[in-house]
Amino acid sequence: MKNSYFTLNILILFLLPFFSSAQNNFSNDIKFVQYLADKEMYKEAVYVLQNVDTNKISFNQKDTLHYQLGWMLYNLKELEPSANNLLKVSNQNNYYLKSRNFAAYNFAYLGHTDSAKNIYDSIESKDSVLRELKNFELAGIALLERDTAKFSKLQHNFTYSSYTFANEEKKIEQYYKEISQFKHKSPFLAGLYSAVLPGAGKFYAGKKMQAIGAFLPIISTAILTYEAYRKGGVSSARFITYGSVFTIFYVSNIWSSVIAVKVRNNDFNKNYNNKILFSMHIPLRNFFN
Amino acid sequence: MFADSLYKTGKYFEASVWYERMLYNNSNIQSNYTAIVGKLKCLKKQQQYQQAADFIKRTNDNEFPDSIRSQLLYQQVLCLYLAANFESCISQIKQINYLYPQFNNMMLQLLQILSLNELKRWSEASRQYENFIRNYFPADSAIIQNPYNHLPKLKSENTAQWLSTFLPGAGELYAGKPFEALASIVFQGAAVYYGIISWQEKYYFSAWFVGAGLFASFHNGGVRRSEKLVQIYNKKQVMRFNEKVKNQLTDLMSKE
Amino acid sequence: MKNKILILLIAMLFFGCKLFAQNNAEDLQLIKSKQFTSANDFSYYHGEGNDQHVFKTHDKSVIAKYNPVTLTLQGAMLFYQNIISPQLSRECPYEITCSNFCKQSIKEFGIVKGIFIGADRVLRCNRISLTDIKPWDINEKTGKIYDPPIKYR
Repeated sequence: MKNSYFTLNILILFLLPFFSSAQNNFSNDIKFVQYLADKEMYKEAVYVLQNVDTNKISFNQKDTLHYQLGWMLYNLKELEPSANNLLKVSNQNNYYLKSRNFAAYNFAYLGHTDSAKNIYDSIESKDSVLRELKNFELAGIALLERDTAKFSKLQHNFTYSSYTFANEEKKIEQYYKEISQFKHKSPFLAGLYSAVLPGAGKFYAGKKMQAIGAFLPIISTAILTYEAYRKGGVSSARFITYGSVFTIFYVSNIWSSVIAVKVRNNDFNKNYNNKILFSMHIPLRNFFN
Repeated sequence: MFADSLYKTGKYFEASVWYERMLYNNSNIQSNYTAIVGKLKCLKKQQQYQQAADFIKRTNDNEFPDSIRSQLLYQQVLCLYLAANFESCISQIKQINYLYPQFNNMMLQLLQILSLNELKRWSEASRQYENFIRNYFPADSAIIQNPYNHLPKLKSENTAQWLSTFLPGAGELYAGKPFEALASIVFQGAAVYYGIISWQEKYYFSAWFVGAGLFASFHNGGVRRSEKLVQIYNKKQVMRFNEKVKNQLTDLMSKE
Repeated sequence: MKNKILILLIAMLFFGCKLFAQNNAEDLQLIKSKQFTSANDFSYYHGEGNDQHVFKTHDKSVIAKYNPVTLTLQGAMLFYQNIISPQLSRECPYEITCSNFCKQSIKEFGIVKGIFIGADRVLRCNRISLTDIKPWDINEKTGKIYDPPIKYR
């Protein structure tokens, strides 16, 4: 009896190394994930989290899992899967508010502003600072959508009292003014100006140096074509060659002037959207980290 | 071990995570060493050599016995070489030679010679090569031909530029590209011819803007192109020489 | 008795752990097979989106592939990229060179719009026009300008 008990102990001790490398203790997993995150090994952290057996963990542990996974994916800039995981964090978890806010921000960044708004609408803010933060983020989303009426309504609730986002409130108001003052240009007029004077349409669309850069070659090919026409006539090889080149450049300038108005609008929107998103991001990092 | 079985099935990333976990658990020195070696093998299989070198730097513990530390230092040097980080590779070898002269071995000396070659420091490489052959292949030292006696003949970029400036196509010919030389002569000649004919036919704007303009573009382009061709030629010559030395030394060591 | 069991246990633990064996032959093979330069390093067009191959038609039918317009344009582009462009040897500030931009525009927008948008790119490829480039269009790593045809849809 004593010998068999002793043999069993030896057998367990022998088999122990083979199992130690595959332990599934959840808290150890999370500590390991933190260790990986400290070393900025986010891909590895995501792999560990995705391999946790969700059938063997409690409800609270699942919350932690979703939060950690969402946060690691956020660091990897995989915003949509990050948001989907963060949204699974329940309101019983300490990181619920942080998860909801960052999930909403991720959707706003990806252009899914409706989803972002829905998330904010579902958040119940318990104190005045959180209410103002929610108000600020919704104002940012309204500005991303260029819904100036809604932005004005939300702007009235800015108090500039919280140090975490008072500056950003002022900045976003400035962006609102600049967006409101943006003059929309007509693609038709841009094309017409370029037809009359090569490059003028680009100048009208705000591309002043491109206008000069386009005008000089077009006018040079025009002079070459005219010279060829005067000396050689319509059927000369020079006239046909230079004339073709002039025509292609002239038509391309008109066409691109029309498109330049759209490119100008896109550039403006891209620039301001980046600024708005940056302003929206700063209070989240300050408040929740 | 689970990590080993993942490695054997080719799942190197997954295996590397499990090895990292072993390191994190920090059970004992033997386990840490197994984890370091395992993760290193995974990173090498994924060809992430710079990450492998950085990983060894972070984990090479002074608590390891000398024989293990020397193995890890050698692997770090190997990974730096494979990551094309030759300056760091040479500096690491010099550090090893200074701090741990007992760690110096054949592979480290080989890597030093190859790294010096890649940096075109052939006089230093030649000295190292002679020491290497004398120390490890004394019986063959009389038979082995020293490749450094026939260094690659490199061409001068400045010469190519000057030739192309005064003689269209000469730079490209010097760089060993006769067809490109011919193309340069044809294009520049055609531009000049067009300019002259246009001027004679009183197409003054054409002559100046198209003829002279095209000639200037092709002429300047020819100068830049001949410089670029010489750079490519030199790069290929250096590559061939380095390959020759590498093959000679690795073949010698394979026979050992 | 107990001491003998302890020694056996320690021996078993060591036997279970694999030691790292220096495999010089494998490392030598790795060193021998490592190439630090590739064919792409010597090609005139490099970078994503750039090549000097024949531009392929979207439509795979015989008429689309072998009509005079297609053959003329393909021949002209091939001649320009392989013969003329190396002789001009310009350093392109854009990520996608003008000739490759033309090819991609034709692929994206069709032959008519493609040619005109390509011609506009040629008009924008000079020192005066480049001063209009926005900072966020410049790739920080390469210093080249991000300007794909899709911007001009």
